[in-house]
Amino acid sequence: MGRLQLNNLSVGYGSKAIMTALDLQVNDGELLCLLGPSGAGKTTLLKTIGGLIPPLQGSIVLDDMDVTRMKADKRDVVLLFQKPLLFPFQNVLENIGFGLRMQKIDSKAIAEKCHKVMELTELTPLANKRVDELSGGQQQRVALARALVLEPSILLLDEPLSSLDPDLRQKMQHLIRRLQRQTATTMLFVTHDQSEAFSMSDRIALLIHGKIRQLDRPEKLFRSPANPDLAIFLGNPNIITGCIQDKILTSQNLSIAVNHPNAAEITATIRPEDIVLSDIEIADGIPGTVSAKQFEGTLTRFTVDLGQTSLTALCFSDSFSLGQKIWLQFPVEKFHFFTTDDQPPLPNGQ
Amino acid sequence: MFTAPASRPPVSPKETTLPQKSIILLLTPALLVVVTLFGGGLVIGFFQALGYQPGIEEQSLSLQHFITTLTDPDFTTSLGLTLYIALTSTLISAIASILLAVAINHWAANNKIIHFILQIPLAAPHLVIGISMILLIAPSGFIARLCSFLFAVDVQNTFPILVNDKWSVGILLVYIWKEIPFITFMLLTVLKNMGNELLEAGASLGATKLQRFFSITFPIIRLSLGASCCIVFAFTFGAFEIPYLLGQTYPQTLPVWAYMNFSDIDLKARPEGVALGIIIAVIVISTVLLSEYLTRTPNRNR
Amino acid sequence: MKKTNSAQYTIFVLVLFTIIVPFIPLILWSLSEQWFYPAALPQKFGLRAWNYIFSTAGEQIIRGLVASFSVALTTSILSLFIGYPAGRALGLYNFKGKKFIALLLLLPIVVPPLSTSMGLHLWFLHLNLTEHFLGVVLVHLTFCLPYSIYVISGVFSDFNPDFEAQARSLGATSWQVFVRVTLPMTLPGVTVAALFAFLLSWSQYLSTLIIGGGKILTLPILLFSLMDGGDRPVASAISLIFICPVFVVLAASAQSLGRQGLRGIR
Repeated sequence: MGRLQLNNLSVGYGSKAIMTALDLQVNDGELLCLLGPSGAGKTTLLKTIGGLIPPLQGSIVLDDMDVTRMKADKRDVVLLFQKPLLFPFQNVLENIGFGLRMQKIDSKAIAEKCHKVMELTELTPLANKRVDELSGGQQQRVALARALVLEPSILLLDEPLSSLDPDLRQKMQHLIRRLQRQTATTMLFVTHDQSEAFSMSDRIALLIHGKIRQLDRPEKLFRSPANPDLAIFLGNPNIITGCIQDKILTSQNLSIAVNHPNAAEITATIRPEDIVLSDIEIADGIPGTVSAKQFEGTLTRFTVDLGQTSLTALCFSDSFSLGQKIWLQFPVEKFHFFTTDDQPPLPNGQ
Repeated sequence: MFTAPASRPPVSPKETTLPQKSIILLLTPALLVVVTLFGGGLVIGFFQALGYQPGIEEQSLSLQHFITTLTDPDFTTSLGLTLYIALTSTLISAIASILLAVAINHWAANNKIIHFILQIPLAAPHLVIGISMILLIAPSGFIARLCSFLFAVDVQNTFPILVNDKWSVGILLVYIWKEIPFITFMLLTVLKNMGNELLEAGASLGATKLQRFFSITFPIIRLSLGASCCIVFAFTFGAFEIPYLLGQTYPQTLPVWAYMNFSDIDLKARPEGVALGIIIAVIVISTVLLSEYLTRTPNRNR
Repeated sequence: MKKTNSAQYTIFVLVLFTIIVPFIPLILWSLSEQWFYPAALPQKFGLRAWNYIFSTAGEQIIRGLVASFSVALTTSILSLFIGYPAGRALGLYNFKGKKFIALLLLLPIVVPPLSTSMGLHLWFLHLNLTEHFLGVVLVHLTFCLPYSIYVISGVFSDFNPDFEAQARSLGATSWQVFVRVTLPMTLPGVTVAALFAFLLSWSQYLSTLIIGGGKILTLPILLFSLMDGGDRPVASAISLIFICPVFVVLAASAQSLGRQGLRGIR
């Protein structure tokens, strides 16, 4: 249970700032994901919040207490690293009890708490194992238990699942989500994996080039990104710029029916999986030619040439072939329109 | 303890196997030399200590020389002195090395100059350092001269006796000067492998600086510390030059006593010298085996 | 950052001072012509000791240097050739009885030369190897070889044999793999092993004395007799000569490896 607030925080090493003027609030009991590409300084940010690196500027407030200058071991914050970092000279149980022993709590209470958390994390049968006998997933579970047993105000997770196999990763995501709900622990989870962020979080903060670009619930973020760059980052290359007159969006030689008041210049987007393809002519269908086809398993990705532009569509069917003439249909309610005012463009044209 | 090279993270896959035949081929030359020279030296020494003399027809082998040596009242005194020197220098070097290694790792991990000059004592011959120690701390040595000069009084009579003295200060100083870098480098290797992350994890879990040292750093360096201390002990226990140069005439350390007997004009003393040499070897080998056994114990809860 | 710098500086000064101290009296004495107690510095500086070494006693000193150098060179080359395959076996492979063989091969590093030399003396006497160059080399080999094996096995435990497999799959013969891949990759560590085996032999006193019987006059043997003679300036000067290779070896090994290859060096 805890609330974290970052005010105008700048982080980095020495004089080199990696992230500047960051404002963020993590609410009590929520799981907030910081989603951003690798190398965006997410680890540095978490280490700063955890007290392992001093911030360059700004303040960190935990439950109304300013902890900016507080040392890591005094902060009621635990950081779960990318690597499990279990102590090799201790077995599973000893590792889990480490933090409690540091607080000099009596051993009976330690044992009790450890057993409780081991039950939650399903580690009880492994209690006396040496840590190098564990699999990667088990090790990360021990690291999680070792952190949770301290009941921190906030738990920081630095891509803890990135080195696990996909199916194991999914299990761990569920476990973390379940434990988070059971213990009502506030968590700040950092990842570069979009599906991980979408499936676990209460809210997602999209972090690109050292700035938080959007902070929203996963569905909202996915459906209504704040600007075209974020849409592209989230895997939607279909950006259409044009004008709207009488509910018709006109862009170059395209005319698409939409449900939006008139606008002189507007940018719209529709997700590839929302575009309907058909090989026979349909009403309101826009004709195009398949210019690229990529089979991706469940779905097949088609790039459709529409004359001056091309759009990407994802379909269950893979029956269209290269060069085939097909018709595209755009469900009116699936369009998302960007408001042009607030968001600054990203550097480097991202 | 000899697995120390593997204390670095093994880069190579250790399950690499080679046909038994090729392994034997690789090892044979070295084994041949070591078994012949080292094993041969010890075995022949042992027989010599039992009374074997070449060229004599009827040999009567007995433990007489060993018994004479072990029951000699001087043996206990000598053993005591040798143990005192070996244990004290090992202990002091170990403590100083822990502090130095942690300090270097924390503040000067990338300072190449410190790493370089720290290698000098490692490679310097004991003999030279023994000689310079005499010139430095003898009652008429450089330090005494410097004191006389600084305080404008003759300190020759008041200056503490630090060479050929009762407490073997000179010997200890040479050993400590030589061995600190050795243990420090052994520890630094481990500390560098450990990296900073484990300590960060500890800090995040609420361990204070002191707690991090005792519950993370120390357990990590423990094995390597034990192994290097064992090597230092074995060396200081069996070394000859320094106690010969800087020690008292009586009592002598075991190795000095052994060599004195060996090189005695009275050839009858020689087997006793050799017997002492064998006893020293036995003590050193037992220490190594014991530490080898002790370093295995952490694996017992498998 | 400031705190780190000043701490680093303190460590540096402390270490440097401690390491330099023993060299001060050696240098002063070797340059003194008259230094009566209790003067803090020599009353008269001069090169008498150095002149003595290079002229009056020059021949003896040069012979000592040659003896020391040739014994140490032969020993270290032999150690390298015999130790390289064994180091590879111990560093790279797992096999039955590895622990025992490792212990056997490395035990001579810690067992004092005194113990083995006295036994070997009797044997070498029989073989006419005492008071002989080869005898001294062999007794030095007893602990220089295990030492080389120790360092080389460390080199090989850091060596990834997949490089050899890759070279072979690219069409190299066994010999080409060794010459073009294995040797270049292990050379820095192996060079350091040889250099330090050289130093180990160079520094030997007692085993040389026992087997050489005062006939193989290496530098340490000369040095001991000089110390007994009490000529401090000359003893100091020879000490300085004696320690020179240490700096050469350290510089050379720093050149070839940076500061890695110094585990377990005595």
